[in-house]
Amino acid sequence: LKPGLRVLLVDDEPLLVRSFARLLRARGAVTDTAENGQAALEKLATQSFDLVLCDVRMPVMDGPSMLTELRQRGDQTPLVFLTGYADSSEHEMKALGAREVLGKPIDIEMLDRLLSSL
Amino acid sequence: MQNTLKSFLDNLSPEALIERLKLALDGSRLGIWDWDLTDNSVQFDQRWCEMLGLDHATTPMTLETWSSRVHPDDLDRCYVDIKAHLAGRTTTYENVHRMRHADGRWISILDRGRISGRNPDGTPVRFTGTHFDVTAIEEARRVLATHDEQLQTLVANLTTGVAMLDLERRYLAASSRWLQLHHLTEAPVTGRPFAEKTPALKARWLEPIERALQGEASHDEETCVQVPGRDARWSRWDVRPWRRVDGTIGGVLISDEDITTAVLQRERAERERNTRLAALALFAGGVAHEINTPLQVILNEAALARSALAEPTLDRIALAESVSAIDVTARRAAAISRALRTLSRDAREDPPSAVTLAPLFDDAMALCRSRFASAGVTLTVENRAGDVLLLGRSSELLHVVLNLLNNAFDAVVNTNHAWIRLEAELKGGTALVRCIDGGRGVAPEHRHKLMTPFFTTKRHGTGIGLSVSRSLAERDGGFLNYRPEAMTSTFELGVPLYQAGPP
Repeated sequence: LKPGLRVLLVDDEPLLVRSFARLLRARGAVTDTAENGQAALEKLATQSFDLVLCDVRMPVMDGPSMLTELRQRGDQTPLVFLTGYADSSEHEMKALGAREVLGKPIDIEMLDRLLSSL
Repeated sequence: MQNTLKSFLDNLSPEALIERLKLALDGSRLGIWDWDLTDNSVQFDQRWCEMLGLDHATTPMTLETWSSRVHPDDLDRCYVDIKAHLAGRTTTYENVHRMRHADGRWISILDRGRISGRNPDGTPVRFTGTHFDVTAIEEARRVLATHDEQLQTLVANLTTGVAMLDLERRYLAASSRWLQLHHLTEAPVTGRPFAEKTPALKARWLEPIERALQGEASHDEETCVQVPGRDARWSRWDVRPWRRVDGTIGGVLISDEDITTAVLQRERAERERNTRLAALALFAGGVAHEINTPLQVILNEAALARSALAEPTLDRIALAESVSAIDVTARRAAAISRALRTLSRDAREDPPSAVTLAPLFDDAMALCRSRFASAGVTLTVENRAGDVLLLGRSSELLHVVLNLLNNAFDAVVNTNHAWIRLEAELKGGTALVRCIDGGRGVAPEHRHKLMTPFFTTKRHGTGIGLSVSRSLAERDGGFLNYRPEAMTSTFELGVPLYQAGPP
């Protein structure tokens, strides 16, 4: 894992964001968090990240809307969707520019593989 | 013949003539009376007295002998008929009345007579006639009338429409239910051709009737009957020949049972089942999210705990944090699982029982909170009724509450008034559960159709949620209403309170 990998965690579930942040920090990553797409866009406007781990459905602005706006800005930061819903379309989200669409829950090995692929 | 008889009688001596007449009267079992209108004395002959069990020798020859034995209910009619004849309005007097026999029973008498003597001025002075015992005939007539009445009553009260036709396809009889089912208002139908003014009837049974006349029966368990301008109804029918005593076919017997209620009930049960399945499918999708997020937290925290345990020095604070997060999220997942178990129970056969309000709200929240929150819809709960016991079935009440919450969600999601409030309060012996949202509510022109099946304003709505919810609510004496007077969209569910012990 690249030391000092910067990861932005976007999810409206505080417990989830917190546990991912602790896991990633334990692996040497630097994390920041946002509770919805709007907040994430604000952070992405001023800071750069190596990876965005993003929920799909969130209040204020959902994941796909956020990604669409991000790519319109010309920001090509890799983004991986983590979705808990069965009906999210992987195909559509990849077309928007998502690197991966993973179904919750993902196991730790998968998270490690994901991080080492960057 | 008449001439032969006349010449025979003319040639007889008066004594012989009387003797012949007596014989004839004996054979005909006629009793003779001869009433003197001037003094109301009446001569009764031997047979007249025997008919009533009286001894001719001791019987007083007065009108009183007759009138005192006539049934009180029949006497007035006798005098009416007698006066009519004496006044010349009838050519003969004729009356059937009951008389008391000496042994105490009532016998029926056919009484006939005519004026047999007049004054020079034409005033009747004699009135002569005969008595004939018609008890057996009257009894047979009464039995027949009773049977006929019983048959008419039976036919009239049949819950099945029944029509009996002759070989010419004319009505011999029809039950009232038949007339009602086929809107045959011009009674009686007896003698009228079948389906004279009802082409729908003809179309349905023309072939079965022809087959029945050939000796072949037909029937169908469930036929949908569509008559233009009337509600569709369902019928179970049977068309078969009826046979005379000698075994030959006398006509056709049609029975038509209206099973609309049963069919509608079955269809409603199917609809209820389908909505429950649809609600379950909707929640299965939503619940995947509700369960998957806690699972992700649990997996993450378990990995963190494992790492902490692998360190040379144990970070107790980090470990405690992981355990606490696992505990919280596992409880949340358990609540969802419990709510799903409640929702998926098919409670149609369950008797109503005590349902606690607070867990009902908890279940509803478990299934909705996270999904609503993710869509930016704020859901708040205010239970002012406390921990009361409701009368109902928890799965059905949860179903109704979730239906209201989902409707509210659809109404406010992606709007700038995305809030829903679920509240409860007590009013009299009823718990009022209100689902209030920030939306505009139901347009006045749609309100009257709100609870009717298949009415929907949603693009992908089925239009059965509210109608099924209302029928579930009303099952145990509750109600479900839209409150048009409220400031914002308000649906109110009334649930009777559970009364402990015998009422």
